Amino acid sequence: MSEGLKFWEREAKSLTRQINLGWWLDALVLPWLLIGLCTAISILLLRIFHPDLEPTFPALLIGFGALSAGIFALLWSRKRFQTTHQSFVRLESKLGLNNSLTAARLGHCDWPAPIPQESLKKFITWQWWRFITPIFIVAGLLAAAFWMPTRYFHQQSLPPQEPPAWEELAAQIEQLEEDKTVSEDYLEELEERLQELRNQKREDWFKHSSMEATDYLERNHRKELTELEKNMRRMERGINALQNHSNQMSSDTKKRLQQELRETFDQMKSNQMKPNQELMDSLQKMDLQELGDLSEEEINQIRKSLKERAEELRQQQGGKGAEQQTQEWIENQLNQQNTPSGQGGNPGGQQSPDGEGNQPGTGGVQRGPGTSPGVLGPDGKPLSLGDLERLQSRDPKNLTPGDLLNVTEGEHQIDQTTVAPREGGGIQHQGQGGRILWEENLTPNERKVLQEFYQSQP
Amino acid sequence: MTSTSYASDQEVSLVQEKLKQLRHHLQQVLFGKEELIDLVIAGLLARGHLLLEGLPGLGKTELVKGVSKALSLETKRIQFTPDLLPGDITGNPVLQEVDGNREFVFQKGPLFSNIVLADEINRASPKTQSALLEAMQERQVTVIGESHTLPHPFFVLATQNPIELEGTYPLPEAQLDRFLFKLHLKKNTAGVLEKIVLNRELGTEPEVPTVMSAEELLDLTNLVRRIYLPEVVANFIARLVDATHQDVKGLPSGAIQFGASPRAALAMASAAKATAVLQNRSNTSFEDVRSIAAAVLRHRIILSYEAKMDQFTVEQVIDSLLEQTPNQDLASPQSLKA
Repeated sequence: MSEGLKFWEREAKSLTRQINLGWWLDALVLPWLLIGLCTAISILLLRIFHPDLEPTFPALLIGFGALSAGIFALLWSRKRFQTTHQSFVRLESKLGLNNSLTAARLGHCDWPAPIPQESLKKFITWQWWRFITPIFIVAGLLAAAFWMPTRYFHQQSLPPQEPPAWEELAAQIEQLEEDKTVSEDYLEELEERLQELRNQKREDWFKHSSMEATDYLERNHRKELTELEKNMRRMERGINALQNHSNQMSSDTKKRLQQELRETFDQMKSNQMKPNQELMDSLQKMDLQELGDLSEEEINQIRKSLKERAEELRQQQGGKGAEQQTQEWIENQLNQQNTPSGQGGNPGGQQSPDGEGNQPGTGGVQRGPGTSPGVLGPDGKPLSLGDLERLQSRDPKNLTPGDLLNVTEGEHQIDQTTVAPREGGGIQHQGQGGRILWEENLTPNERKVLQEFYQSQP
Repeated sequence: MTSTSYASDQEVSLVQEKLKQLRHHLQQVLFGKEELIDLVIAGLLARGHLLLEGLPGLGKTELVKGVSKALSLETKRIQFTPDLLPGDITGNPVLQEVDGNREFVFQKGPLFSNIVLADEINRASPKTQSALLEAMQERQVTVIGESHTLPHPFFVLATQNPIELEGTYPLPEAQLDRFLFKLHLKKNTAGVLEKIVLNRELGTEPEVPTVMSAEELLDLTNLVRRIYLPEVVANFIARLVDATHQDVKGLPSGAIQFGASPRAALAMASAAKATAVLQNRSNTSFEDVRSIAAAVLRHRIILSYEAKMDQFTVEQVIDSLLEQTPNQDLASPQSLKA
C-alpha cells in the first residue's frame, strides 16, 4: 500500500467520521431538547409527588433520556451519513486536487502525494454553538427541575387537618374507654358515627352538611354526658338519703324518694349513654325499696362508684358538670330579669342554657334594639316638628324664583360712611326700573335663573 | 467502456511536448491571449467548431491561420457576404464531359478542407448559414441527393464582429449550438500592444512552424476521447446544464428564456477531457468543467427580454450558475463548515 493511499484513506475516513458526527449532532438537537424538556418535567413531577424518591432514579432517567435522544438521532441521521468515497470527493474539491483521489481510487492514476496536516486542519470548522447551546439549555432545564422549590406543592398535597371537634370527640371516646365509665355499646356506636364522618372525601370534611352532622353528634354526646352525670349524682344522693336519713323521713317522703330513684334508674337504662355494665348490674341487684340485701359496705361502694363516675363525666365536660351548668343558667335568668326592656330581655322569651327560648315572646314595636346605627348610610340631622328644610335643586335650568341655588356664608356690606343730615325730597339718582337690582344685587347665577324664568313665561 | 480503454498518465505525458510547442507557437501569433489559445487548442482536441467573436483587428483571422499552419492542415477561408449562396461553400454539380459522356460532376466547394475559416459568418444569409449545419454536425454535405464526406479532421473556425450589425444575420440557435465554444477576443492591454508593435510589422504574417501532422492531431483527439470522466464530474456537468433551465438565485424569475441543450453537456464533457490533457492529467475534474463552462454555455443560453432590459449578461448568469452549483450534490451538516 502506497504512502499516498494510506494518507488519503486515513484522512477520508477521519473526514467521514467528523461529517457523520456533524449529521448526528444536527439530528440530536431537536430530540435532545424535547427529551431534555420531558425529562426535566418528569423530574420535577417526581420531586413533587414522590419527594422521598431515591436520587439514583432521576440520574437513571437522565441517562435513559440522553440515550434515547442519541439513538433517535442516530436512526434519523443515518440516511445522511457520508461514505468514504464522498469524503474523497470532498477532499479533492476543497483542496483543488482535480479529482485525482477519485481517479486514483479507481486505479486511473497514482495517488497524490500527502499534503501538510495544516492544510487539512483548516478544512473543517465546527460550529460549536449549534450543539453547545442545546446542551446548556437542557442542563439549565434539568438544574431547574432539581432546584426548583416544591415546598408549595408538598403543602398542597398534605391531607387537610380534620375538624377539631372530631379530635375532641375521639379523645373523649378514648378517655371513656380507658375509664370504662359508660357502656361500650354507646362508645362503639359513637365511634362508628365518627368514623363515618371521617370516611367522607377529604374535600367534604368541612362542608356544611358534615359540620352540621358533627355539631349534632357533639351536642348529642354532650347532652348524654350531662344526663348521665345528673342521673348518677341524683342516684347517689337518693341512695345516700335512703341509707343515712331514712329514719328521719316520713313514709311519703321516703316513697317519693324511692319513686324518684326508680325513675332515675329507668331513665339511665333508657338513655343512649348508660353506665358501664358492672355498675348497671350492681344497681339492678340493689332493691331500691329497702336497698336490698346489700351490706353497708357494698352500698358505700356503689355510691362511691357513682360519685367517681359522675366526676369523670364532669371532667369530660370540661369541668362543668350538669349542676354547675344549671347554676349558670339560673344566674343568667336572674341577670336578664334585671336588664331594661328593649335590650332583648323579656320580650324575647325565657332563655335556657342551650340558647333557645321556652316561652313565647310578646312582640311589639319595642321588641329588640332595632337596626344597628349607620347601616343605611350616615345618619342625618334629626328634624324636629315644624322645622323646614329647603331642598337644593340639581337642575339649574328648571329653577324658579325661591329655589335654593347655593348656600354661601357672607356678611352684609354696611356702608360705614358717616352721612350728614340732609334735606329729603331731592332726586339723587334716576333709576331705570329694577336695573339696579339686576346689576348690583344679584349674582350671575341668580340673574340667569330670572332671565330663563321670565323668558319661559308665556 | 472498460477501465483498460482509459488513457494512462504515461500516454498523456507523451503528448505534452507537442502540445507545449503548439501552445508556444500560437502564443507567438497572438500575444497576451494564453487563456484563449488554450481554449482554442482544447476545442480542436475535442473536435469542436469554434466561433470567435471580437472587434476587427484583434487577430481572429491570424489565430486561425496560425492554427492551420501549426497543424499542417489544409485550410480554406470563406469570406461570408450577404450574396453568398450555399452552393458557393458546399460546391456545385458542373456539367462535364467524362469519357465522351456529358454528366454532372460535383465540384467541391471550400468546405472540403480540414479547417474552414468562416470569416464574418453573420454577414451571410440564413440560407447559406444553414448550409453549414449538416457539414458541422455530420461532417458531410448533401448536394442534389448526393452526400459527400468532408475531410477528416474537419473544423469550422468562424469569426463574427459584434459591431456593425447592419446588414448582418444573427446566427440561429441551431447553428450556434453546433459550435463547441464561443470565444471572446478582448482588447489588448498596453503591454501586449507594445509587444505586438515591437515584434510585428504591418502586412507580414508571423512564421509558424508545423508542430504536428493531421495524423498526430487525430491521435490526440482519440486520446482525449479516452480520458477518464469520473461519475461525480459527469453529475456536476448534468446539474450545471440542468441549472440553466431553472431560475437562478439573484436573477429575476424566468431570466433564462432557453437553457443549454444535451449537446451542450456532451460538449462540456469533451472540452473538459481536452482541458485535462492540456493540464497533463488522465482524468477530468470539476476544475476542468468550470474552466470551459463559460465558453460552452455562452452562446447556448438565451436570456429573456426582461433580463436583458435589466442589464443582465450571459456571463453574469454563467458566473451565478457556477457559484450556485456545488461540485458534489451533497449537503453538509450545519454543525460544521466543510
